[in-house]
Amino acid sequence: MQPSNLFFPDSTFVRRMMQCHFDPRAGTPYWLQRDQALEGRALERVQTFEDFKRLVGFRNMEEQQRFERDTRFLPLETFISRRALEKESFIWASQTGGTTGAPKHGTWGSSYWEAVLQFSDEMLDAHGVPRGVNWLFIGPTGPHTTGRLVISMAERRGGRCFSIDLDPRIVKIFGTEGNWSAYERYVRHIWEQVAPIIKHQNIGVLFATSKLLEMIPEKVGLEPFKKLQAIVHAGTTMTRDTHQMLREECFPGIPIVGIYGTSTTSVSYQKPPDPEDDGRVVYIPSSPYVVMECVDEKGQLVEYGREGRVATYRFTEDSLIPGFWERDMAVRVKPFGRHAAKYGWDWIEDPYSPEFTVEGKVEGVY
Amino acid sequence: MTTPESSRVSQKLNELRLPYKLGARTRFSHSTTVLQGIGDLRLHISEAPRLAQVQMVERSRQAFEHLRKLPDDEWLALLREVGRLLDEESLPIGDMPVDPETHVDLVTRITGVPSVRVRSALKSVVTDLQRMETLLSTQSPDGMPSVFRTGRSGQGGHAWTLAPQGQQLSVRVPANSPAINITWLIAFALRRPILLAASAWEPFTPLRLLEAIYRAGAPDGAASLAFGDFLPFMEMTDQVLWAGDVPEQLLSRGRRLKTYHQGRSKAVVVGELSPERVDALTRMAISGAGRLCTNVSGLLVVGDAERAGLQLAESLGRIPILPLSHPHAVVPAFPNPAVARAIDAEIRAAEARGAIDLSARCTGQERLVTVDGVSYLRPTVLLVDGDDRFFGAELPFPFVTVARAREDEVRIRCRNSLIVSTFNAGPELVRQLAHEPSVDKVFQDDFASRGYDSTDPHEGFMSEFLFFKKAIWPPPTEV
Repeated sequence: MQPSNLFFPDSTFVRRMMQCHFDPRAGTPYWLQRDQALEGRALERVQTFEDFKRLVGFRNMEEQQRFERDTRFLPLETFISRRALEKESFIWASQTGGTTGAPKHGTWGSSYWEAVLQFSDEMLDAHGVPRGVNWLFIGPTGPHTTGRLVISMAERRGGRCFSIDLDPRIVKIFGTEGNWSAYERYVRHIWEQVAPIIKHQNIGVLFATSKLLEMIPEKVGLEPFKKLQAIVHAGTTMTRDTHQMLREECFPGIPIVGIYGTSTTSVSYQKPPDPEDDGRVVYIPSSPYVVMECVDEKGQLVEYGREGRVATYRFTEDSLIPGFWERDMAVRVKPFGRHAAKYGWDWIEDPYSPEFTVEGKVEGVY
Repeated sequence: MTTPESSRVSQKLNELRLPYKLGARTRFSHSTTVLQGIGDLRLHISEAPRLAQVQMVERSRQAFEHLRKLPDDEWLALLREVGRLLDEESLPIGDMPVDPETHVDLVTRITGVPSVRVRSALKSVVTDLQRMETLLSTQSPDGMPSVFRTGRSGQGGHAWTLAPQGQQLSVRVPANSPAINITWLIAFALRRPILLAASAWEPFTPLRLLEAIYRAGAPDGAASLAFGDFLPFMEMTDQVLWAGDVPEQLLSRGRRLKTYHQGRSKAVVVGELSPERVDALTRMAISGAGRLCTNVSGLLVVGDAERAGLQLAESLGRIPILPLSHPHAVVPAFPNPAVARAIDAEIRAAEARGAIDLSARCTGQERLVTVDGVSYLRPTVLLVDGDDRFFGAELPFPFVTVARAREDEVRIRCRNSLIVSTFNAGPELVRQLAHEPSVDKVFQDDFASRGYDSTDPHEGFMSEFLFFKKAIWPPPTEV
């Protein structure tokens, strides 16, 4: 088994991140200002991840909401360390949310981008996703990170990436407003664009959302996709049942790999399958850059096997996020099977958004 | 709490995992809807993923031709066998064999409908399956069931061919009574593959029926059953049969959509009510525990509405709340007490607007009661203004709103009713009601409590929705 580029954030790593973001001269204006206001003295006092959670982590939802609001309305550079601004060859300005109103912004610096591509290769190889084949990306480009990232992945792995662009915001608006004919027309428009590419080009890997994958049998039929060698999906909830049917009935024998995350908090990969998975869709957070916890209402870690709200920590030189409570719920998983030793930190299982699956809001196609 | 109902079935049947049916295949899913019934009954109902629903539609397409090729005798025998199996045999629900009496118990414990009413509803389904030849003959343009297979009149000489409007039918099945399943069974008997989106609040009858259908020898894909999202069915099936108010997504289906189970049945009394007519009205309010689309929900009185309402309230007030397994039980329970509370609050809101609870006046008893930890609403007659939006409201227990009306406004106030039953109405009023397009059935005096009979048109005949007449020359042997 190849050594991993991933590891749990040890004190050396945490210290490095503290120096990066809390150095009074080269740190991040937003976090420095907050640290000063809270008299946290993070640079001196934070030695470990637990220290970080205690001294820097969001203390309540109000703080998080203020942070979210600030990411919509403050200049992006407020959230980037001055060191990263000087050092990085580029810093991608990502967007998330923004179906209505101003979007939230985040960043992906060039060194982190390289790290993501490295561990993406590691995980995609572990799943058996082939190199040297073309990809078809059906998803949002433009301000959304997914498009740029998947194109980079495909090219780095020696393929060309064909793209079908989609606008997840307008789809969500159609659904929310009950404009079903427009929604259906948009979905048809997506598949009308897919059909000629899948028919005439050599596509080895398909990237789409779970919602779009589910539509393939009814919208286009499975036949044109018979030559696929792998599928990667992200962006919408995939249930165990759907994953099982895709794996066993629709696309038997090829890897189907999930990516979980957002433009702000970054990505985590589905664990390569093991017999003991029992159909569970389990993700390995891409530590040390991302740590995911499943927490209860008080912010305490839930027991293994219990469901909690996903709280995400991001540690990169361009961006720091101190425990963002996602809308999603997931089960906390103790590492098991053949990958437990290599990725020995908490995993998460079957994440879903209650607002879509329980409250019935329209998730759209992304 | 131990109720007679919950003690009658084994402990094992208190915690039930229920599958969906992908054609003949039984499937469980990880995603489930969990419902709490009366006593210890808890259901974990498998949600069929969209991909499974797509497969159901594909299988139904394959089954269409197969169903149409079955000889009439064989087909009718199969339907009779389905009835026999439902009535006599143990059939699996999930991984549990469920006999007919346990079936009754389970339906009672999840719906709150008294066992005796469930048993009689299931018996009516069995009877209709046994006499399907008669029902199909009634629905046939030339009186011959074979026309639904061949498209040609058995009598010859007709200038029409009967062609199917589609190859499969998706049906939303509500939970009010097991008898509602006869609606889709008639469509099935008309040789149309069926995709059921059944209410999780009465999963047992559709599940046992599907088991019976396949054990009787129906081809795979002839019927499938899901309890989850209805969207793929809607998008993919040729025709949709929808119970209740139509959601926006379905409106574009036009002729390919038929609604049913709208109910809002009413009665009209001109002048005084004799004791026999009060008895008839009482039967119309309580049949099926007050949860049928044929139950009278609004009573218009051309005369003294309060007096007529009090007569009905007194009669209904004599009905006791009995254990659901009692042979004379009439009043249904509410497995989810929040539903009973919400309905009670709705009635109180009407009272705040000026409505009068005549039942409370007669009996002096509270409407919402809890017996052995289970919520009930006592049969209720509410005197309302004819313009009140609550007039004719359908609530899932014996509940009748009463309003005064002038004879010349009866037709307008009876619009959008499944049944209008009249007492002492003159021929002109009956003619007006018969000519009202939004009134489906008009029953007079001695026939006022006729309710549902499968040989009557019920929101039209199913065959009129599933088939249409075409001129094809020369007439084909089969279409």
